[in-house]
Amino acid sequence: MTIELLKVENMNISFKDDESGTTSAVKDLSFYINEGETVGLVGESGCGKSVTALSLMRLIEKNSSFIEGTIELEGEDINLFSEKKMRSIRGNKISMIFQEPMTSLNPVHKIGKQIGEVLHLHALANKINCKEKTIEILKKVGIPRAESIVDEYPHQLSGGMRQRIMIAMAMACNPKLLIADEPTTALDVTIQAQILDLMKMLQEEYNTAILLITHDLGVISEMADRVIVMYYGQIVEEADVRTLFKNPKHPYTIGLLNSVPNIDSENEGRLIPIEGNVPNLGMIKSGCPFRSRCQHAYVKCHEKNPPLFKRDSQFVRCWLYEEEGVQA
Amino acid sequence: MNQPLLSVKDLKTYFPTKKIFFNKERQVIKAVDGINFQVNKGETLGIVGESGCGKSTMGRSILRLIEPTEGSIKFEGKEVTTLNQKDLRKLRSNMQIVFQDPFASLNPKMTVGSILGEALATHQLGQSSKERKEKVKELLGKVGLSPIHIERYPHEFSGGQRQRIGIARAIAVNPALIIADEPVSALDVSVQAQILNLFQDLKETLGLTYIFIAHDLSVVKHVSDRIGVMYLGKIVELSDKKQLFQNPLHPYTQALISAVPTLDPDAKKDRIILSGDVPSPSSPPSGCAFHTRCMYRKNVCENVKPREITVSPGRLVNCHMYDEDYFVEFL
Repeated sequence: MTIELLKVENMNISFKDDESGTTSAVKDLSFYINEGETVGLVGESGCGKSVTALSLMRLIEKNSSFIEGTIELEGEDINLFSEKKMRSIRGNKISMIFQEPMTSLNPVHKIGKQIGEVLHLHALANKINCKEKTIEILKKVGIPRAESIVDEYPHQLSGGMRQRIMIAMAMACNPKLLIADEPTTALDVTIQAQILDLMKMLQEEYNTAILLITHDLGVISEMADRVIVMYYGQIVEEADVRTLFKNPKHPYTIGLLNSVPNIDSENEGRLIPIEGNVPNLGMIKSGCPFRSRCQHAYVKCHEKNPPLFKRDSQFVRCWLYEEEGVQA
Repeated sequence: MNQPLLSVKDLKTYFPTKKIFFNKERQVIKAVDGINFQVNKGETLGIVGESGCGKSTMGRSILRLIEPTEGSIKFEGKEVTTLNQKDLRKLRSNMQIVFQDPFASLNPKMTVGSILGEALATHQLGQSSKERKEKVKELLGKVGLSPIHIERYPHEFSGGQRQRIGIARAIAVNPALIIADEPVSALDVSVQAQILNLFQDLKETLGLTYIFIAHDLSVVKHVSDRIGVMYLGKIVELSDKKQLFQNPLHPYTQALISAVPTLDPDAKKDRIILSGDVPSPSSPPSGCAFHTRCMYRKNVCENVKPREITVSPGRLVNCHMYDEDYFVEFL
């Protein structure tokens, strides 16, 4: 049986700005993640995917932002938690890895100390067995010569090794959910393959759910069970990975898939790009935010932003599917 | 016989590292370590490799933006490495470069009109400033921008538009060859496709030749006619595109192709996962530079540097497995 781990409902994230009050970064976002499942969150820069991830951990600054809606983790709304209670969630139940491991590791502390700190804070080790445990964890994420690496600094390691260290720290408390925000974007393809392989292996061993955020459709197709496509702070399509790649519905999803050169295809022709650029936040006041780049846009798209229409297990935010689907 | 547009022979670019106190010998980083290839007129040669393999250094060495240490570069039969500054400038109107980061390669204090106008003025194209302005407008049209953009500054444009300006600057002087160094890797996928199409269109309308440098194998595959795969300063395999993907010969090429995630969730391919990291070019492994990560490694690989083997016409590979002196070791 599948058990629901995380359920986000009607999440709105907005930031204060100088003039007009607030800029909305994420609008009315609802999704769920089951235990042990990998959900891919895909979209281009500025679509709100990273801000969504940070909000789940409540890592965006409170003074300048608002998170509305419910974020239920195992039935409890963590959006209502105090900062103190939130700290017991971070690392223990939800942990996160970032795109650039060099900026997330402290450059002036040795690797051993940084991992040891995690173990200490979560009472997984004491002073005596700390080093031993650290080495054990490093070995688990496939770091060669772990005994000597604990005494090295982050700058002495390669990008791939640093990301392994980040994964080691994130997985130390055996969290239920790992949020991976562009975990392989800064890495070379052969190293990317290693890291993805490691993530899959750890997921199988610990039944961790993964929220994988990336702009790389290839990585999504490889890793995800279910995919959420975001555009301009909204979910525009959601489906299981097979349906999404074989039968994409939203013009934006179709456009994305068409604009990526496919390494397997023999097609030598032109790519079909999406015309125009991703609009800046706050630029579009009404209607469907994708309409200016959409070939199928008609009157209705200018008037009203479509809701998500559901058909079987696929959700599409587009007026073209108004008749086929049921409003979700 | 057709003379190649560009012919690079045994190109080497070494960088001395800082002298360390008490250490008598200066170390050198062999960023580009003996590269041979030719580019014919009208074709696109893709260069693919991971970070630190020397692909950008190679691109810049060809233009002598970085002075090569050794070797010969012939453009239309003329030796480039021995040119003086004046002749070099003339040559550069034939060879241009498009950089990765359109944010960093455009002067933020200059309008688009003056950025492009400067390129024209430097190479004495267009007599008066009025004439140059007309040319700039025409250029903007060629790269899909509008003449109203002429008075704007780089920060007023999106990443994709800035890359269009970078391309306009490169084609302003009517070059024969453009070296594109990771031109789309800073862009979002939907915009990336626009720029790739623009490259393709310009190639057809202006009869350009490209050296297209990128780390993304699917992009390189899409644009190139022939592809060179680089690893630690060397081209380990050079082949026409079709053969390279259907039957990759070098173990590194095989691993690289298999590591690229596919867009088909049903495709379960046998992935070759290389162990370890790319070694540092300051202390490359002995023998074959790839032997530390190679799955077919034999003793000979650790000790002897592989030769360039011509497997079939136009198909080169740098690996002992295909060398008649050594292939017995792999049986």
